[in-house]
Amino acid sequence: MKAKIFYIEKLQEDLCEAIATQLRNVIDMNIKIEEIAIPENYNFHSSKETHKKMDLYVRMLRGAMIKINDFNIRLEYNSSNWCYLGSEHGEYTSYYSHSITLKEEQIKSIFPGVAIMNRMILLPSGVDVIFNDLHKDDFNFLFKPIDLQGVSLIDLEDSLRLKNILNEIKKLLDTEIAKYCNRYIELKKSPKPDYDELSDLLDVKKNYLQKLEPEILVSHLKITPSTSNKKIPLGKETTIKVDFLKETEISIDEVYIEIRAPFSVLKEKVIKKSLQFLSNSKESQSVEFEVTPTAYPFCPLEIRFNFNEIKYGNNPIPFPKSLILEVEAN
Amino acid sequence: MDSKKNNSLNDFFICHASEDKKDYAIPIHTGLKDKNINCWLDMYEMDYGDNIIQRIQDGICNSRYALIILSSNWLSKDWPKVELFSLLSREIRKKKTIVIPIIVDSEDIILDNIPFLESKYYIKHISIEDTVLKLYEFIKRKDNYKISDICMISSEYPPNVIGGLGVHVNELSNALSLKGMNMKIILPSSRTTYENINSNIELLPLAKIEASYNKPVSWLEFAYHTADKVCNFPALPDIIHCHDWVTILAGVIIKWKLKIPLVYHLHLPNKRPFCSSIENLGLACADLVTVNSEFIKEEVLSRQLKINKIKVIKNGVNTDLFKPLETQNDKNYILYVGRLVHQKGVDCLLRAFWYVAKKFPDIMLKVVGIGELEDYLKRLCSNLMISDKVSFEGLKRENELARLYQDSTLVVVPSIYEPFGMTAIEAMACQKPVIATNLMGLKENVRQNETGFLFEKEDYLDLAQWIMLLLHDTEKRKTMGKKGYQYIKNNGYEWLHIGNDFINEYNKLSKQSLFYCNNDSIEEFKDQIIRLAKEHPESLPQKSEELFDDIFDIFKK
Repeated sequence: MKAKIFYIEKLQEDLCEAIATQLRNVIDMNIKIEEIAIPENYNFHSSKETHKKMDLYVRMLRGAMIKINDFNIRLEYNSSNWCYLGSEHGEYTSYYSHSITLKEEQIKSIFPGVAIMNRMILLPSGVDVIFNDLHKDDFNFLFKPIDLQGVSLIDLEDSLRLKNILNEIKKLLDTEIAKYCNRYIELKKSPKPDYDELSDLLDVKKNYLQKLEPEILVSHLKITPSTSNKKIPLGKETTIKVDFLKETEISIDEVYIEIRAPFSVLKEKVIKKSLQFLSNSKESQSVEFEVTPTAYPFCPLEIRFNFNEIKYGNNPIPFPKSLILEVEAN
Repeated sequence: MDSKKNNSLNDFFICHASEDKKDYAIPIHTGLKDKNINCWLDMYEMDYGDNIIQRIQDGICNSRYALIILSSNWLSKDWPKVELFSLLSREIRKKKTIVIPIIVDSEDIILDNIPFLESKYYIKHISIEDTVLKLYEFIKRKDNYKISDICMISSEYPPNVIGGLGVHVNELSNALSLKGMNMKIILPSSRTTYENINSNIELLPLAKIEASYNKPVSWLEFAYHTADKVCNFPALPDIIHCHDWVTILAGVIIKWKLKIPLVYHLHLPNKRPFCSSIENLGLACADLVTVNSEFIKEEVLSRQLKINKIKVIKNGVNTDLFKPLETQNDKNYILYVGRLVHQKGVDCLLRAFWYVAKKFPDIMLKVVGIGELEDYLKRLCSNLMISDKVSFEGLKRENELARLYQDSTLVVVPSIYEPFGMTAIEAMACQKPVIATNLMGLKENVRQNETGFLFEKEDYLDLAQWIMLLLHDTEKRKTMGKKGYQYIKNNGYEWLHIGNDFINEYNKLSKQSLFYCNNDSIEEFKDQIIRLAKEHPESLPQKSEELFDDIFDIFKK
C-alpha cells in the first residue's frame, strides 16, 4: 500500500513525520510513504519538479470534492505576482471555469494533505473555511465524506484525533479492498482471488490482501441452486426447474440471475431472470427454462448472481455456482 | 534439360508442313528452346548445299522424340508423311515411344485420314504456351529429372524448438533426406548447439547472427547474411525452402540473386505489421506457398496478393515415436501439451476441469509445456482450488512426451487460434481420443464424434461436458482412439508421406519458369518494410540504411 504526504517544507516537517508514524502504526507497518515537500515560497519560478508535485496535490484535492465546476487555485505572492498552483507556465486555461485566489500566507493552511491509494483522505480542518470565505457567491463545492470515497478534514496536529480517524479509515479501506476482491472474484469466475494480480492492480502488498481473506471469501448472501429434475433425455428439449434457496436470514429486494450452459443447450446464449426474496427467513424461488442436452451423462450449468450493489454493498457477491444436470443417453 | 541429361541428342525432331512453320513449328521450337529443350527444326539445321535427306535422317536418328504437327496442310503433303512412316517404323523396331502427334486442326479430319492415330495418345493443340508446357512436363517425366539439393532456412531446429515450426523442420528434413534429398539447413546462431543426428543433413548456423522472435527487426540482418552464405555455396541448391516470415526475406533475396525456385511454408500467419509486411512480400514472391490447413489457405488468399501457387500440405506425425502401446494404458489423467500462452486457451481447460473434478474426483490433469502464462495458470489452479489435481510438467523430451500421450485417458487441445494443431494428431497417433476447439486446423484434423469431440472456442462448459462424456464412456474412448489411429494411418500424416508431397511439388518447379511479381509491388513492400522497421529504432543495427540498401537493391537489378 502506498501513501503520499504533501507538506510545506521545513514548516511542517515534524508534522509530516508524526503523520507518517501514525500511518505505519495504524494502517500498515509496511505502508510505503512518499513525503512530498512543497517549498514555503512556492511561486511561478519554482522548479518544474515542484510544479508537478503541486499539480498532483491539486488534482487529488479536486478529486476529494463535489463541485459545480472545475477550478484553479491562484496564489498571490510578493504583493503583485501570482501563479496557478501546479501550472508550470502560469497559464489559466478556459477549461477551469473558476479560479480560487489564495494569499501567500494561506498556502500553509491547505497542507498537509494525506493520500492513500492515490486518493486524498486527510486534509487540515480549516481548508473548507478558506474556500468558503474566498468564494461564497460563485463557487459551490462540498468535500466528499470519507465513507463516500472522500476526505476527512481534521486537525492533523491532534495526534489522538488523528489516530482515531486513521483507525476508521483503515476499516473503510479494508472494506473497499475486500469489495474490489469480491468484484474480481465475480469477474474472473474464480472462487478465490488471484492475490498477485490484485496486488499489482491495487498496489497493495499481497500479504495485506491475504489478511483480508475471511472478509473476502465470506458470503453473507447465500443462495444455493438445486434441481429436482431427475435424468433428462439427451437431445430432447426438456423443461427443467431450478430452485434457488436463500439461506441468509435477510430479505433481498432483487437478485439478478444469469444461467449459462454448453453451446446450443439453451435457446438463448444466457438466461437472465430477476428474483425477489422478501422474507427475513429462509426462502425458495424457482426458475423454469428449456434445455436440450448435447452430451451425456452430465450437462454443466453456470449460475451467476448480481445484487443491488448499493443496498447489499457490504455483502460480498458469491462466486458463480455450478449445477450439473444428469443426462440420459437414448 | 540442364546438365542432368545426355546433351548429345536433340529432345524433339519437329515434323511439319512448310505452311505450318510460321504458326506452329517455329513458335513451338522457340518456346521449348526457352525452356532449355533442344529441338531439331529444318530451317535451323540445314545450310545451302546440304544433302536434305541425309540431314533429315540425321535429325531423326539424333532426336529422342518426334513431334508431328498434324493439320490439313500436313495431310496434303507427301514428304512429311514419309517422315512419319519412317519414324513409326523406327518406333516399332526400337520398341519405344518416338512419335508424339500434335493435332492443330479438326481432330475428325486428321483421325479420318490417319486412322492409326486413334490408338495413340496425342496432344490437342490449344495454344503454343499450353503445348510447350505439356512437352516440357513430358520431357521432365521422361528424364526422370529430379530435384535433389534442398536448402532450407529455418529459425528453429532441435533442441532449440519453441513451437511446431521446429518440429516440422526437423521431421520434414529427416523425411526428405531419407528420400534421397541432400539437405542443407541454415539457422540463426544459437547459444546451445543444434543436435545433428542425421549425417545427411548439413546444419549451417550463422555465426554471430542471433536473430530472435522478440526482436523482429533482427531478422533483416539474418536475411542478408543468409543470402550471402547461399550465394557462396560451391554448388547451388535446386530449391530454397523457407519457414515463416522470419526466414522468407532471405529466401526472396536468394531467389532474385540466383534464380532458384522459392518454396515458402507459412506455419503461423503473423499479425504484427512489420512481420506481416515481410510475410506478404514472401507470399508475392514465392514460386510455391505451402500452408498446413485449408483455413490458413483461405486467410492467405483473402489478402488478395498475386500468389503464384498455394497448396495445403498438412503437418505430419512421427509414427515411430508416437504410437499406441501394445497393451493400451490409461493412468486416469487428462493431458494438455503446448505452450502456455494466451493463444492456447489453457485457462479454459482449467475452468472446465473445475466442473469435471466435481463429478470425477479421481481424475488428474497434466499440463506439459512452458510459457509466459505459467505463473498465472498455477495461480488460477490455486484460486479454483484444483491445485492438488493439476500438475505442471514443464518441457518434455519427445520420448517422454510420447509416453505421456500413451498413458493418458484423453487429450485436450483448447486453443483459441490454431493453424494446424500438431498435438491433436500426435494424440491420435497414440490411439487417444481428442477434444479440441472447433476452429481452423483443428476441425480439419479431428473428426467430430469419430476421433474425438469439437467444442466451441472458450466455452468451458461445452468442453467440460465432452470431457465428462469420455471419462464416463470407456468404450467410446477406445473406439475413438482406434478410429483416430486409423485416420492418421490412412490419411497421409506420416512424415515420409509429407516428404513425398513436398518432393512432388519441388519437381513441378523449375529454374526455367520462375515466378516474379511486378516491380511496383516489390517497391511497395520494400517501402512498407523499411518504414515499419524504423518504428523499432532500438532494434535496428547501427548501419541500418546500408543494410536496407544491401537487402533491397537486389530487386532493382
